[in-house]
Amino acid sequence: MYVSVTFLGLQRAKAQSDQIQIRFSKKTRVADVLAYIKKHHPELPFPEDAILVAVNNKISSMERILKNKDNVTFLPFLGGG
Amino acid sequence: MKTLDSSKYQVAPVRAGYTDRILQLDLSSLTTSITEVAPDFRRKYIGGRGYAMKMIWDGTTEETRYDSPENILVMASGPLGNEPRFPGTGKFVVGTISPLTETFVDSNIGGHFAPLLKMSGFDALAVHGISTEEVVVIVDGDEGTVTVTTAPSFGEEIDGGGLEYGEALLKEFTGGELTENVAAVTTGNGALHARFGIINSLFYDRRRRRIRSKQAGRGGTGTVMRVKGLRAVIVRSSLARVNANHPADKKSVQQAGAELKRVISQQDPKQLNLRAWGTPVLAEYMNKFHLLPVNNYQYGQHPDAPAVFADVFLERYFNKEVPDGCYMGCNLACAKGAEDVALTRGPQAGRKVGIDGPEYETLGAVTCQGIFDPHFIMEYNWYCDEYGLDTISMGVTAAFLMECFQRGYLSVEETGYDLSWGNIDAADRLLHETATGEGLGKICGQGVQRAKRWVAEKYGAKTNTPIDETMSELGKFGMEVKGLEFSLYITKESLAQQGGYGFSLKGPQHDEAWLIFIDQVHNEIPTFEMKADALKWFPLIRTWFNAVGLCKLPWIDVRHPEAAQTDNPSQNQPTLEYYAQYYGATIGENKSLQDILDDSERLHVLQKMINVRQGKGTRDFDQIPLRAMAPVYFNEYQSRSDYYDDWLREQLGTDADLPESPEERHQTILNLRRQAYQRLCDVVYKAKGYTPEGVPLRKTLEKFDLLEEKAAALLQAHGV
Repeated sequence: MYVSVTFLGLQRAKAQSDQIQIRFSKKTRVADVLAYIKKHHPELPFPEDAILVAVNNKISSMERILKNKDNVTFLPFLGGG
Repeated sequence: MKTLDSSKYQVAPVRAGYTDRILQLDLSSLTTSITEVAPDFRRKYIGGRGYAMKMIWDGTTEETRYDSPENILVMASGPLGNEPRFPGTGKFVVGTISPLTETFVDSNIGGHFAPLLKMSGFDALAVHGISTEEVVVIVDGDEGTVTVTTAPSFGEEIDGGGLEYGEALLKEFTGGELTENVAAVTTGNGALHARFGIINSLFYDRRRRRIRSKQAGRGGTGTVMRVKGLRAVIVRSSLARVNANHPADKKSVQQAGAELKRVISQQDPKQLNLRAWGTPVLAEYMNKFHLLPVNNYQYGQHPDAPAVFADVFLERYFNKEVPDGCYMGCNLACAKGAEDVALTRGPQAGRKVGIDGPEYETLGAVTCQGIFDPHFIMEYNWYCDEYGLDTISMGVTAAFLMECFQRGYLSVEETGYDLSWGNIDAADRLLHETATGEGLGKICGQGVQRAKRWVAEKYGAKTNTPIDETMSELGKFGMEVKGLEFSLYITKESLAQQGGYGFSLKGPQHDEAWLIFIDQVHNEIPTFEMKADALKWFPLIRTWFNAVGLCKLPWIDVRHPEAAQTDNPSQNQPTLEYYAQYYGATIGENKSLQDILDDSERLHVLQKMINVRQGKGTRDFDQIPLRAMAPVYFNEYQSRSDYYDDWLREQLGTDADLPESPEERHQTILNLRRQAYQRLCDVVYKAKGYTPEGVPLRKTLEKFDLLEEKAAALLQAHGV
C-alpha cells in the first residue's frame, strides 16, 4: 500500500518537497512512518515530545494503523501568538 | 525645539522590579509631576495593564471618550520587564479609552522604550489632558530631567511619518550618535485620520545600524496620542541592563532564564522555527487547517497561499546575517526585519527602506483582501507603520468594504474605484486614502462598526432599503465586536475561539485566548464545560504577561518537551514554572501559578467593570458576527460542503435527520451554530462568576477586594 507524507514548514524547506509517497506493507502504524522518515531523511526536524500527528487532516495518534492512500502530517503544537 | 516646561527629579532606583514612581504628564497645563505608588496599589494591580486600567477606572467616567481631556494614555511595563537574562522582557502596554470601542483597551508593544523608562526611574508614564500645540516629551534618566518641548519640524516629507519623524527626532536629540540607550515612541499622520492609529516604539539596533520599530497596534492608542497633541516621547538611560531590575534573588532569576533559553534553543528549531522565520510561519499551518482569512474570512484556504509562506519572506527579504529580536537577551528573537526593500507604490515609491516585519497578523490582513503578493505585504507593512495605522484594522475594514462591493452594497459610484478581491491597486489606494482621510479612506478610517452605517445609508439612498435591514445584513459579515476589528484567524469551526474573541474584554484580539488548535484541530476541549474552563484559564494567564512586562511567545509558541506528560499539555506548565520562579525571584515573594492566576483575575474583573461602566460590558456586547461562527452565505457552505455535511451528521446523529437540500442543510448549520454560541455564553458566564447578562456578581468583586462604592453602585444599576 502507499502512504503519502505531507511536509510543512521547516520540514518542507529542508525536504525541498511538499509531499512524498512511501510504499509500506499492511498494518503499518503512524509510528512506523515516522521511523522511516527519520531514517531516510535525517535532516528533517521532528520535535521528540511535542509532535502532533494528523491522518487525512484529522488529528490521530502514533498507534493508528494506516490504510492505502492515507496521508500523514507531522506537526508541531501551535499555541498561538 | 522650544522648551515649554522642564524639571529636575531624583531618579528612583529599581528595587525588586519596581521604582514605585509614575510620571504624570498634564498636556493641558504642560506640566509634569511624579506620584509614588503605594504598596497596596502595586500588590493589587501589579504593573503594565493593571496600572493602566486602575488609572482609567479611577480617573475617568462613563462620559469619558477617547478625545476627552480626562482620558489618560498610560504606558507601563511591569516588574519583570528589562531583564536580559530572561527571554522576552522588552514588552510594555499602552492603555487608554479606545476611539474604536469607547472602552478600555490595552495594546502590548516591544522594544527598548519601557526598559529605559524604568531605568530612568518610572514604572509608568500617564498622559493627561490635551495640548493646544504638538509637543515632544524628553525623559532623561542620565540627567534626571523631564522636558516638554514644542514638536520640531524636519520638513513636510518627514513630519508626517511615524518612523521617519521618530528617527529624525532621535538623531537630533543624540547629535547623530544613535545608541541603544535612547528610544522613543511616536506615531504618524494616519493616526490623526483613522480611529485605529498605532504607537511605534523605536529603538536603535546596533547590528543593523538602524532604527527599528515595534507597534502598539490595537485599539487606536496612536490616535489618542495624536489627539492629545503628543507627537513623541524620548527616553534615555545609560545604566547597565543586566541586574537593572535589582531582583531579590539574582541567582534564581539567572537560573530560570537559563532554563527557558535552553528549552527555546533546543526546541524552537524543531517546532515552529520562529527564530528563523518569525510569525509568518503560521500562515502555512493556518492555510492547511482552513484558518487563513481569505476574502473577509469567507474562506480559510487559497491555492495562492504558498506565495506568502514564511520561507518566501526568508528567501526574498529577511536579513539572515544578524539575529533579530525586539529586546536584549531573547533567544526566540522572532521580530524579523529586512533591509533595502524597494518601495514600488505610494508616495514613497522609488525609495529603499528597512522594514520590520511582517508579523503573521499583517500577512493575514492582506490575504483577507484576497491578495497573495509578498512584496505588497512588505510595502503595506511599512506604510502602515509609517502612517501610524493598525495593519489588522486597516486590512479587515478594507476587506469589509470589498465584500460590500462584491455583494452590491457599494459600487464604483460610491467607492470611486473597483474594489474587487485581490485588486492590489485598489487596496494600495485605499491604504493611502485612509492615511490622509480622503475619499473612501475617510470611511475606512472609521473602522468596520462605523463603516457599516455609512454603507447602509448609501445603499438605502439608492435602493430605498431600510437602513436597519441593511445594517442587520452587514452585521453578519462586518468583522468587529465592541467596535474592534477581528484579528486574523477564521473561527467558524472553533466554538472555543469564537468565545475567545467574543468574550475578550478589549474586543476580538487573540491576546486573551488562542484556542483554535486545541479546540478545532486537537479536539482537546470537546464539551462546553471544558471550553468554558479554557476560556477562563487561558485569558488569565495570557493577560498576566501584559501586567508584568513580558512577551508570551517564549511560553506559548515553544512547547516544553515535558509538557506532554502533564494533565494539560496545552498549558505548557513546565515552562510556566520558569516564569513563576522568575517572578518570585524578582519581587522577593513566593508566587505559585494559582497566585498568578488570582492576581490576573483581579485585573480581569476590574477591566470587565470598566466595560460595564462604559456600556460595553453586557451579553449584547459579547455577541459575534455570524461570519465568525458559520458559513454565512451559500458560497461559503458550498466551498466545503462535504465537511459541513459531515459536521451536520455528527450533530444530528442520524442520516434520517439530514435536510434534503443543500440550502436547507446550510440554514440548519447556521441555526445550530447560533444556538451553540448562546449556550457557550451561559456556561462561560457561570464559570467566570457573572450573571447570565455577563455582569460580574457581587461575590466576584468581593473575592478580589474590588467592591468599593463606585463598583457597588454600578452593579446595583444593573440589578446585581
